[in-house]
Amino acid sequence: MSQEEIFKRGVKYFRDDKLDDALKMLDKALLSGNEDKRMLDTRAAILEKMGILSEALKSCKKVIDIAPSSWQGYARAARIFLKLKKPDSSLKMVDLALERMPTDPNGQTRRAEMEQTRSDAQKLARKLHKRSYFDFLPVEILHTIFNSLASLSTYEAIRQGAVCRRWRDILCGMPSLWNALVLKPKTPQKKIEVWMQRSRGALKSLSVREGFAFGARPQIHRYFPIGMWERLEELDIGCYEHMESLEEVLPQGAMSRLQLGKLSIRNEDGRLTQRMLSESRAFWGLVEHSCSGNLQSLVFHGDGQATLPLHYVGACTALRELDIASNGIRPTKMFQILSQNPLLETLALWEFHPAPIPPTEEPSEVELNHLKVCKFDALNSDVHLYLSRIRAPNLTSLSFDKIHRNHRFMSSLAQLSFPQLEEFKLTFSKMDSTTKILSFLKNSPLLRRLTYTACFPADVNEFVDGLSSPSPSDLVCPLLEDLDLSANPFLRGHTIMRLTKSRLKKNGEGDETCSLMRLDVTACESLEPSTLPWLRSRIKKVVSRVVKEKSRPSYGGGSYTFV
Amino acid sequence: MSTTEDKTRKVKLVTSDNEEFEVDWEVATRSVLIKHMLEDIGESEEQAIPLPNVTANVLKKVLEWCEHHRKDPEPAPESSDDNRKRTLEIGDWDAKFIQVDQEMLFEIILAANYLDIKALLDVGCKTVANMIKGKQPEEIRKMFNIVNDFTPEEEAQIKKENEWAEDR
Repeated sequence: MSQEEIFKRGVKYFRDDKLDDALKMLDKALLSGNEDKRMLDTRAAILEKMGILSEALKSCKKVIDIAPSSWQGYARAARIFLKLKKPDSSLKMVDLALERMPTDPNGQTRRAEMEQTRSDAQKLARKLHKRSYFDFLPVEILHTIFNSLASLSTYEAIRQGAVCRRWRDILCGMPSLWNALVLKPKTPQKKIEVWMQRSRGALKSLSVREGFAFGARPQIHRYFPIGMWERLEELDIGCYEHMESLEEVLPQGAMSRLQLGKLSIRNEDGRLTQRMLSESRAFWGLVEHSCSGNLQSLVFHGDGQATLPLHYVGACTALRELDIASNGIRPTKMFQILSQNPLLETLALWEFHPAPIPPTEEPSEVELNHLKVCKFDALNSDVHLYLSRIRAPNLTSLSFDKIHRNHRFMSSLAQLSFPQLEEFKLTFSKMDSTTKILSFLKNSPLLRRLTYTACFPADVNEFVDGLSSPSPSDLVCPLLEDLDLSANPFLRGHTIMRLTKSRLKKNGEGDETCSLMRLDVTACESLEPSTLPWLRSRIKKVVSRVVKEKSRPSYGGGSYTFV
Repeated sequence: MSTTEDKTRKVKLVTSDNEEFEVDWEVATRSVLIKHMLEDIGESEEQAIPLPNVTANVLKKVLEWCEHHRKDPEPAPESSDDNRKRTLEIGDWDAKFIQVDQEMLFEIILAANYLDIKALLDVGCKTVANMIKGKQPEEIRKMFNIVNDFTPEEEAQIKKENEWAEDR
């Protein structure tokens, strides 16, 4: 028999699964003539099938030596290395085989087989080397994951740098995580250096706290190039003792360059005084001239100590957020500001010592089509003016806190209608009747969240009954999902059960489901204990926490704490 | 812009392990990569799209997501600032869909990245972020099989930096 005939017989044995005979034939063929690529590859295939893998690999090596430009030797070696649990060698062979395989349609099946070998080898590599799946994620995906964590807080993202060097390198290379800096008198210089370096000098947000002043730290000035102040978007100043004026907070020359989008001034330790604000004329002048065009958010929490000099912010025209807690807020001036800022989305006013309004100063109406959120806190003297003279057809959230026996407020509220309103809160207020509140709620068909907390002496049961109706078509706020009735000590179980029953619906399978998803009855002391299991069996989440005896709420204001 | 004809069209996809999937044009084109490839090959409907970086079991899962989201509007292009406005919330269906073992989760993320399906990539990344949040470094290393490759000196420095970051 010729070498070719012996080889063909060997192939036949192989196909018939007579592996010993096939191997004998192949060895004989190889001895009877020259070493041939096909014969060596077939010998390797037989040995592979017999499980004699190291010998099979030797035949593959010979195939590669004889025909280095053909793919067969590499492809079989890739599979054998995989069986030998040597994934790295297998991956190398996969690459070499694919480089040599034809790309025409006939080669597609073989290429697909090789890709499968690659995939299996990669999986094995992860398993054997105990490599993390993270090792196979490209940097841009890790960026996305860390940015998702930063949406909770930048700290949540930054602290992941402690996991491993790769994560740390990626996090340190993300300037957006380092562009907010908090400065206190004891902030280490090294921290400032690190933050300025990693933000690449492009600080977006700066908070100064506890009386920090650049004037007292000349050695850090070099980290803050003068050009950066024009790019600073947010400045948050916490006023603290010993501060003489707001000008001293930033380095010389910085203030005049500011083009802020957000400015916050907060009374950090109760030391913000009218005198200090008066001393800060230059600061307010710069707010007026430099920031007014860009300023989108102004937060002033002077609390009971100081009054925001409204005339300095009178030039603002791009405000989207206005959050003021101040002594007497003159409505005339405030309405002038509101009318100049038609893009306003959030308005929060908290008044401490109201200023009397001369009758001649009553403001005219203002239309705020972008206004979504309104919060009024202790704004007793003027709240009716804001309610009756602001047109906000797209308002979604309205809150009142500490409004005391204010008939003008009640009358204004009853006449209002915000067709888009989804949230309404009334807390810690004094009132005699809830009729007008219910009238208002009847005009809020889209309301989903309602908070009615610690309001006395009006009867809470009467209010809750107003939200119940045996007829679904008469139901007030039919979409209500979240109801907070906490701190209403006179709320009775049967009242809240009636409300729940009125919001039960039968589903397709005949079971009853409650459209109310969450109910808070914390500190409702008159609620019979047997009510809670009944409520819990019908409402998805019922909250009823224990309240400390001494911190129970009293009407007229305050808060309560939980144990 | 898709036409009515496009919506009735079928698309053939071939995975790295040579399995063929025939899916609706609308489902397949949730992947920007496939959409561009289809635009390149034009009207030749018979031509299968090779996906050499995706195996059949992963593509099956990815197509399940694409099928459920076939009617979703195209996502608006994101600016880098938008990243900061993200939340970690995932829709109910997506949350259930992504309840898979770690290997499949990472395979889905890699496939979504390769196939350019931003919304699915986002679901995967948020899921991983949810797994990480609030955990200590050692817990994270253990969970994801990550080696602590810091020297003690580096660890001390990182601890200090994290304290600075926490000081708000």
